Amino acid sequence: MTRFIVHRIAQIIPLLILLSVFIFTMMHLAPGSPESFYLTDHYTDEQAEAVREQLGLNEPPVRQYLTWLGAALRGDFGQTFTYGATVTDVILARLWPTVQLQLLALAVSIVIAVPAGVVSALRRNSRLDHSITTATLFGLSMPDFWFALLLMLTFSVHLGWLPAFGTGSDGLFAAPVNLVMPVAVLGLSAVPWYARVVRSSMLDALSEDYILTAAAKGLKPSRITIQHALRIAILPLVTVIGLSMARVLSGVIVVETIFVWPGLGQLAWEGVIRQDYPVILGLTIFTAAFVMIFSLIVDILYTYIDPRIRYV
Amino acid sequence: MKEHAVSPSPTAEQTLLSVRDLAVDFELEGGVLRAVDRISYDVRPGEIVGIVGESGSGKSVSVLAVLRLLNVYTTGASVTGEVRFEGRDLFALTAKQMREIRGKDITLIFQDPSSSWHPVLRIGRQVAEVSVAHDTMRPNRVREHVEGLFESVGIPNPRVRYEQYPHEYSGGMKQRAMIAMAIANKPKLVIADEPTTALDVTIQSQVLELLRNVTADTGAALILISHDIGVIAEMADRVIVMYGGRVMEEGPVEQVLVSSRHPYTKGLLASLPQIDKTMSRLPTIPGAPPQMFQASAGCPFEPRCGLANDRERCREERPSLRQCGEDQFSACHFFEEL
Repeated sequence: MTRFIVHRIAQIIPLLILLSVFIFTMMHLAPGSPESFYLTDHYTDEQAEAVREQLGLNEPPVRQYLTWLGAALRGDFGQTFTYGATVTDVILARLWPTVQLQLLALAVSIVIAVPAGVVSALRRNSRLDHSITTATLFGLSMPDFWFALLLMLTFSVHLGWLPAFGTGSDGLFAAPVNLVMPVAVLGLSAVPWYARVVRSSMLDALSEDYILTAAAKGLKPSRITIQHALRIAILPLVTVIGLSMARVLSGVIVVETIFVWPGLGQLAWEGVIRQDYPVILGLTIFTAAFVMIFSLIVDILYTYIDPRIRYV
Repeated sequence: MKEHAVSPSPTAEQTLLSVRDLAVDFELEGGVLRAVDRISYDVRPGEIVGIVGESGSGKSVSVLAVLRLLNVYTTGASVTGEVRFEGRDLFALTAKQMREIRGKDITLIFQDPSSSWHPVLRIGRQVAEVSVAHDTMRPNRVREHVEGLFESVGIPNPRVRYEQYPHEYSGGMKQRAMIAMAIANKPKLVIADEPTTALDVTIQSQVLELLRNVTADTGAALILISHDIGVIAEMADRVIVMYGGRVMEEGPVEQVLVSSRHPYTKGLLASLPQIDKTMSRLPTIPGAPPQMFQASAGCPFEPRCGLANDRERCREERPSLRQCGEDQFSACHFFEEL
């Protein structure tokens, strides 16, 4: 187990370096240039040259990269081009709003998806099952941004119940009314995936011999369903949740941009639009590291929920 | 003639389980499959009844039907007939009353110990659960009780074994633990469905021996289902021979084995290897077990039967179980010719 963890952690650094090379190349190949952010519509070549010099963009790309890498390996991800702060500070400032959003969204999606999947499986081919399937298909095919705009139109514009943007608070926690719509969009968008996984793994579990054993023991249906069938059916869901964390950043970009949520998703969007290279690089590395560490945690967690799994 | 008019009918207090005209139909896409075709039998307290037959003869389905376990998580099985346990009509009980019988008064031991245990729950807890569910043990005493059971079924190191998961058990040990679970609540009837089929030959006899001992100790009756007539011969007091979802012959085991009055039983016995004879080839029964989509109007064994000789009665008329000896019954029109 310890060997497994050490081995996995050792893989993270080279992977991140490889990723940074890729991102760096893509950024520099992309059309446009960062200095335009600082320049007015009518600028001279000298002005542009001065900005480029200041941002260190006149160095050969390979040297730029190596300079960045050398600092990054020491934990310094550099100065942002456009925020007037270090990359680390900007990311840390944007981290908490996104974490709040994602954790609540995850809770919402699990709380809805697990019962929906279980009920679908228990009442297979019933009207209820078909309704749930239809609803999940509908949810699967509805784009997040569209759903977000519909919510906003209904609850902010027409009804005026919920604020359309911002966190609504200067304190640690966002205001509950401000959280409702972004959490609903993020959370509900995952429900169809999770519910379908739970339904199918639940159906598999229910047809296993040990469910017959449990029934032959005279256990109550509720106990058979939850303690025996769901205990097994939850394993694939953990895998899927782990995998879906890979989309942790891409998922919030749309939602945070629409709801003007000051989180990492919005930062990523701004960074790309402004071609703020250090922000894009820093954020990519940060997210990638998070995904890798999270998947390691999921793998370790697996040994606890499924004792048959042992890493050597 | 109705079968139960002639099948053994000991008085009610002598009968633990009484099955009458039990039939199970499965509605499949290709039509209705009759897996069990109006079978009747009785089990007396403390006795060992063997049910023998080829795969597909309806042995397992018939006992699952008795416990009303067929429709737990499958659909499309319809069960008719009457099953009485200690005089109570099992098919008339509420789901809750039925649950109180399952795992307490009637327990099941399954064929495949590798798939019958929940893979990620500790074995000890799974055994304990059956006592907790039926309130037969105070929760703080359950563990002690289970460890005692483990000891009595020959599981060494009960303390350690309690904490282990199924994948840490061998097949034989899993089946021992299954037996421990089956006797945890001192049942009146244990039903073992091919309990040794998935085990090594060397382990088989140990597990059978154990099964015999624990049921004798607790006074439980045992229904032992097997396709292996040798196992039945060794264990059972009485034997029920099934074919094509029907009872072909029934009687005390030594009587049926020595002087069978049914051509199917005779065929089964003839196909057993014998230790004192040199045989270059084992005799087999020609043909294959019936497809039960169309229940035969006559005898299901007729197409393979050496005695039928193309007689119309075998094809057209369903043979009923008739007495053919002391406590022995045969469902053959022409058993007198044997």
